[in-house]
Amino acid sequence: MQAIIECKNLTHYYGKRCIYENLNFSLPKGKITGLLGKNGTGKTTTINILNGFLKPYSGDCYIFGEPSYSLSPKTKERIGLLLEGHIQYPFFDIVQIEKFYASFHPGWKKEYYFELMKKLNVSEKQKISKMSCGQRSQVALGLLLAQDPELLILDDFSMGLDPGYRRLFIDYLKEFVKAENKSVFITSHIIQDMELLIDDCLILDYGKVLLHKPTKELMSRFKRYRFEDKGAFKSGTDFYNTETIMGKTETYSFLPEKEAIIQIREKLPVNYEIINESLSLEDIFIGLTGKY
Amino acid sequence: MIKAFFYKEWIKTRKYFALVVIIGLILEAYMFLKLGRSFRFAGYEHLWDVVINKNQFLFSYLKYYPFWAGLILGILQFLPEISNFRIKLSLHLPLKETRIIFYMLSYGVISLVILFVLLSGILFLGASHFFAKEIVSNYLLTTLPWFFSGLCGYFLFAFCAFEPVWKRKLVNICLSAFLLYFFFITDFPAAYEKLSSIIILCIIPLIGITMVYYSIYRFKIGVQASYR
Amino acid sequence: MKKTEKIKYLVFVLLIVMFSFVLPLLWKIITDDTVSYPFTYYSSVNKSFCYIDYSDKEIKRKDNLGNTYTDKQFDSILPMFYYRQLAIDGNLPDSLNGLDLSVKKIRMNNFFFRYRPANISRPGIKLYRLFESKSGKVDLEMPGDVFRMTIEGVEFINPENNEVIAGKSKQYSKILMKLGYEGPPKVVGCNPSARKAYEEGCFIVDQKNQFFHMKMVNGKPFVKKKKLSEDFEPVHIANTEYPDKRFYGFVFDERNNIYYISTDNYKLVKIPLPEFSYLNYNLLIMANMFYWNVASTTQKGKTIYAVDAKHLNVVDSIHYLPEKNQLKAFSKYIFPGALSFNSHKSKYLESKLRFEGFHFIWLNIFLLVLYNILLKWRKQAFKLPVLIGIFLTGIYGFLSALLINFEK
Repeated sequence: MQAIIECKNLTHYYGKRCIYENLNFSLPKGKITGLLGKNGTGKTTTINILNGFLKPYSGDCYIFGEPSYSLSPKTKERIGLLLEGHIQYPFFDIVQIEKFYASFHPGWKKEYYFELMKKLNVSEKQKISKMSCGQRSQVALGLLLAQDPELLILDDFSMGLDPGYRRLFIDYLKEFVKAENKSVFITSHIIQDMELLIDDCLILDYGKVLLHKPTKELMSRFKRYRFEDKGAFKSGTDFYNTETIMGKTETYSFLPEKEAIIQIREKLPVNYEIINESLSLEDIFIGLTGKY
Repeated sequence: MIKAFFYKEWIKTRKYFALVVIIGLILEAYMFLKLGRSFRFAGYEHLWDVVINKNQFLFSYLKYYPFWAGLILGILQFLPEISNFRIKLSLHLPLKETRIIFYMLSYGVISLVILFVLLSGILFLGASHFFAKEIVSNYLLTTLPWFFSGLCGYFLFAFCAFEPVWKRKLVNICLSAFLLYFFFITDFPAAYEKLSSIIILCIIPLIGITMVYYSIYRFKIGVQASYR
Repeated sequence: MKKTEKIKYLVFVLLIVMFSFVLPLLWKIITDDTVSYPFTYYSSVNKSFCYIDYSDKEIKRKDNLGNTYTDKQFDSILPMFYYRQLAIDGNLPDSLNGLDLSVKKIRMNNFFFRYRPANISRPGIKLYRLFESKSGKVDLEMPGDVFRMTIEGVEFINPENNEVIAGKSKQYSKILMKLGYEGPPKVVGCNPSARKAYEEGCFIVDQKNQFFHMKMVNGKPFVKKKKLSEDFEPVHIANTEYPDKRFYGFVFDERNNIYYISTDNYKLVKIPLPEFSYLNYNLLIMANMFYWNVASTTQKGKTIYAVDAKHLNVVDSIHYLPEKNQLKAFSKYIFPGALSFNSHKSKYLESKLRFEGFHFIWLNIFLLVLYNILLKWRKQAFKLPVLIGIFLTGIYGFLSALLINFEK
């Protein structure tokens, strides 16, 4: 399958601080991929590099096979971009902004935008600068839907949104990708929302890609194990983020359930009770990256 | 598509720019009222004498107006683009980036040129009513560098404002101040009459435009101090 | 080379231009002081230059023969200059050099003529004024119009309504055309001042090198014509209208000669001035009935010629060098040329690059080496154009290169 986004040996520094080194990943067509990572792992940096808004220290990045620092107008037409914080032109009202964007996109689907705007309950003359964050997010979303791009890149869509607007956003996105050949690359710091949405997970840790797997696989295979061992358990390579708080230990693993339990038992002196749990995506994220 | 860009810039700047235009018109109206007063007080022949033989320039009020007009338009147009990196929205539009910048700058240049032509036109008509053509052309030549300073104020603001690295921003500000100084070196009427001066007057805005592209490019790719 | 790289070099060049203007200017502001020369006047009494030396705290009055004078004595050896003081003191001699003296006579023959290059190098509004030359009144009256020279003659304009006065214009043009005038004029000399002893009108040199004297007598045009030699290229006419009526004014020509226009049939009489250029020299003529003190000044010094008033030949001269300003002179070892946009020699804005030889080359080489050491220390590669820039423009290029990093 053709990769829509491809990053090769991406390295970036802010000053002397290394964001990541030799980052490699590629995204397939037709999927919603979530870019997850804690603050400062370079999510927005990656989005910026992808759109040519940042020159990486080294490495290459391609979208639709074109180097990201010089995307052709044709390719830019195929990409819908949501900036962090739903940034839009504050001086426009909702009619003006539609008029502005419509003239750039030949396949502009006006009805998508106005359908969403009807629900917003704002007057046509209200400036975007005077709208709430939730209303602004809907304007931004409406514009993206009307553009009807092949690839949506959304930087922290949930920022500043209350649950209702978040859910609305997700519902529309889901409808959007139902059409053929639509791909979405999305970051968010509220991982709960992503669970409902994303097909693939790309998890960044400081300086590297921690994991890139389908969400389903992740959710079915990644398990948490808890036991009261008074700190006796020493985690090996197959266990993640083992942590003991007041004698109770938590650890995570991709191992099949039985094998994991066997391995844990081998390392424990006494036959403690081991509780294993399936996890939400948020728990998985914490299991993989740790709480700190 | 250029229409859409002009529409956007127009919505962004129209109210304040209208104010700038009105101030300009008031300024000229004031100058002509004052001129009329001088004629009544000093007499026509005497005022002509002062203009011809004492190198008096009667429209000095106009001196820094074009510069401020350009600078303010620059601020109105570019500050919203810089805050929150909003220019990314424009640069992401399905056009070549150089063209996007060109359209944005065209709006500013065309607005300023329309304003300046309007003001010069009023100046020309008004001055022609009172003065011989030799005086009128001398006066228009005197205001020429001031109007050019307006265009440059506009470009050089963008040149300084978009520059992402602070140290370089200071360098840009010094350089801009130097380039703008050229328009205000001397107050002597029509001192910029020589071809060499006119050529420099024209070159500085061209430098200004080039520099805007450069600064926006650096802004876009997020140039940092460490590797400048 | 990538576009952005090119722009980087453009910034480099602009910075060099900026520094070449700003640094020498700052240096000048810091080190500049006024250049003053002793007041000097040729004595008609002892036939030598006399001067007042201010350089010490005590003012000294001396002459070139080695004598020192008191204040009173100094007045008496320069009676042509201090005649009013002498008259008040009752010490004005009755005669000198075989000529009778009186305050009135001295005043009639004295004149001061001042010329600066900016008199020519300036944008001007080419409108002139013709006063009535025989009004019969002591003060000149404003004529109520100005005129412009056109291809076919003269156009008088009424400032009251900004309209051409057809009748008067036609009257003057007709005479000019009859005399063969062909405009537009090369040079026009008019004195617009109403504060002068009398009015002699205007002097015009046309395309065919014909010299016209045009004035208004009893409200009617008076025009005289004289043919000038083909190779005579006048650049400036300064009307004088001095009381003695020996000449109408001075003409400056392309070859840096100065002539006076004699009232005797407009003969051009050359003023002896061995070294003069109308673009660079200030000129001051302080004349009396015996001698003209012709002083020409540049940055390189001041020369005063004593010229015999009658025969116009140089009888003596004296040269002053400007005081040495060590710091100011040192600038040529630092700055490879200096950019300036205006000067006291011109009212035009003119960009000029002053160049005083290659004294700066050693500093340039030093800075080039320093820059390379700096690059080594920063572990950066050198760029040839930058090195050439520093080598050629020294401190300007060096500072500019420090401000721009040419690494990627």
